[in-house]
Amino acid sequence: MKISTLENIEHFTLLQNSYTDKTIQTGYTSDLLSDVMAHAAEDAVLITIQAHKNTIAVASLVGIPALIICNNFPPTSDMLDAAKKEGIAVFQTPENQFKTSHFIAQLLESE
Amino acid sequence: MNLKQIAEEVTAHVVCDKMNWEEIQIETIFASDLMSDVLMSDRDEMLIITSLSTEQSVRAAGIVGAEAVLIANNKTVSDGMIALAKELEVVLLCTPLPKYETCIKIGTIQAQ
Amino acid sequence: MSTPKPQTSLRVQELIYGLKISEVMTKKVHAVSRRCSMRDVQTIMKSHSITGVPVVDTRRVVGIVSMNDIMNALEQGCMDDSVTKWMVSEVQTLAEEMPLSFAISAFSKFSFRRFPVVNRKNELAGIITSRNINLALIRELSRQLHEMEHQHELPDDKTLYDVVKIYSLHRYDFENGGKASSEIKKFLKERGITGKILRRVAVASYELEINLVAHSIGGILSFDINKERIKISSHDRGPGIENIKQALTEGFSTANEWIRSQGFGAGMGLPNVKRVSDQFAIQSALGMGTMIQSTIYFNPERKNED
Repeated sequence: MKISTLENIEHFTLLQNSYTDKTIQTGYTSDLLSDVMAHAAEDAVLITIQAHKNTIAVASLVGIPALIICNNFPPTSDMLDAAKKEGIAVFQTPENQFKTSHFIAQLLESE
Repeated sequence: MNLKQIAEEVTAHVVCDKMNWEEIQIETIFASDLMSDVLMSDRDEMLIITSLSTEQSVRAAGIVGAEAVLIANNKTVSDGMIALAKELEVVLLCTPLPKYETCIKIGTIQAQ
Repeated sequence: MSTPKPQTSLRVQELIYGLKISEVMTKKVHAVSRRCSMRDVQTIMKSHSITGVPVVDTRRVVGIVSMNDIMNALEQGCMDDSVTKWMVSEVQTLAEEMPLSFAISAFSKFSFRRFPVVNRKNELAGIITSRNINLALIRELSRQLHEMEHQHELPDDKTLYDVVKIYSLHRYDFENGGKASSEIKKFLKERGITGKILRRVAVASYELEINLVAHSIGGILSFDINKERIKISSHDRGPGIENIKQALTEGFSTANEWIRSQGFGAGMGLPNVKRVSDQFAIQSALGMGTMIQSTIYFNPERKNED
C-alpha cells in the first residue's frame, strides 16, 4: 500500500509531511538500530519508539520510506528536520508497537 | 490465550520455565527494546516481546511484574539471563521470528 | 563481580553525601577587600593559621589569595601591593546548599585546597577545606559506631521497620544494574507492599539505578524505609547535568549509540521517576555530580500529614 494511505488512519498523526509516496510491502518492528540496519527490508515501514536523528540516518541507509513512532513518544526536533531532508514520512500513534504491528499487517492484507 | 498457545504459534522454545507455565493466561502484551518504554506503561504487562537479549530485559520484566519475556529475532540467550529469569520467576522464551511477524501472529490468535 | 562493600562503609559514605556544604563548612571566614595589601593578607594568614583568603567586593567573591601568591610577592619584594595585583580572579566557588558529594568531587577534580562557599545571592557564606570534610567524616563515623553499640540485633520478621539499604553502582555495569531494585522490590513485597504502590517504587528505583549505571561515572543508591514511606536517593559524582529542566523533558537524552544499543537512553528515565514519585527533588552541578531524591508514600492518605 502507499504511504499516503496511513494519513487517513484516525490514530496516526503525520508529523513530517515532505516525503516520497512509495509503496510499503511489510513492516519492521524494532528499537535497536543495529537490528534495523542488519535485517529490515527496503520497502518496510519502521515501527519504533526510537525518535531521534540516528533513526533517520539508519532508515535512509536501509531505504525505509516511512516511520511510525509508537506510544506517542516525542520526537526530537532534529529528527524531524533530518526526516524532511531525506524525504522520509514520520507518523505518530498513541498505540504501542505490538498493536501497531498487528494493525499494519491487517491494513496491508486488506489491500 | 495461554503461554503454550503463544509459544506454539511463533515456534518458540522455552529457555527458562516455571511450574505450570503453559497455563499462564496472557492478556496484556508489550513489545519494545527500550526498557524505559516498558516501565512507562501503566498496565500490568504480562508478556514482553523484545529483541534486547540482555539481563535488562529480564530485570525490567521483574520490575513491572511480567510473567514472561519472549526474545525475538533468534537472538542468543546468555546463561546470566537464564539464571536471572529463574531467580525472578520469569518465563523466558525464544523465537526465530522477527518481532514484527511475532506481533502479527500473536495479535491474530488473540483476536480469535 | 567485585565484593560488595559492607553496609556500614556505604552508610557513612551516604551520610557524608547527604550532608549539605553549609553543615560542614567553616562559617567564620576571613576575607579582605580590594583595597587591602598582600601584607594584610599575610598577617591574617599568620594569626589564623590559614592558607587562603578570599577577596570580596560588596560581599561577592572577586578573587582569592593563597599562600603561594604571598610567597611569590615576598620574593619580589611586593608585599605592599594591592591584593588585586596578585589574586586569582577565576575563583571556583561552591554553593552552600549543594550536597557534600559535590564538594568531594570538586576536590578531586581541581587542584585547589579550599573553596569559598557562596549563598543564593552569590555572597560569601563560608569556606570549605578538606579538613572540614575529614572532621565531618570522623564525626559521622563516631556517631555511627555509637549507634551500632546501642542497637540490638533487629529481628528478621517480615514487618516494616526503620531500615536503610545502600548500594554502590558502577559505570556501564549493565550486568548488575537493576539488582538493587529487584532486591528492594522483594523486600517490600515480603512486608506487604503490593499493587500500584509497589510498581511505582520499583519503577522509580530501577530508573534511578540505570541512570547511575548508564549516565554517571558511578555512585550510590540508598533506600530509607519506614512504615510510612520509602525515600530513594541517588548520589553520583559526575558528570553533572547541564540543564535540569531539559533533562526532565520527555525524550531528551545525552546517551550515545552504545547506551541505546543496551536498551537505554530513551530520555524517559528522569521524567518517569518524577511521574511516579509523591515527592521529587534534583540537584546537579556540571563536573561535580547529581543528587536525586524520590519519596513514595505507602498509604496515599498519609501523604498530607508529613
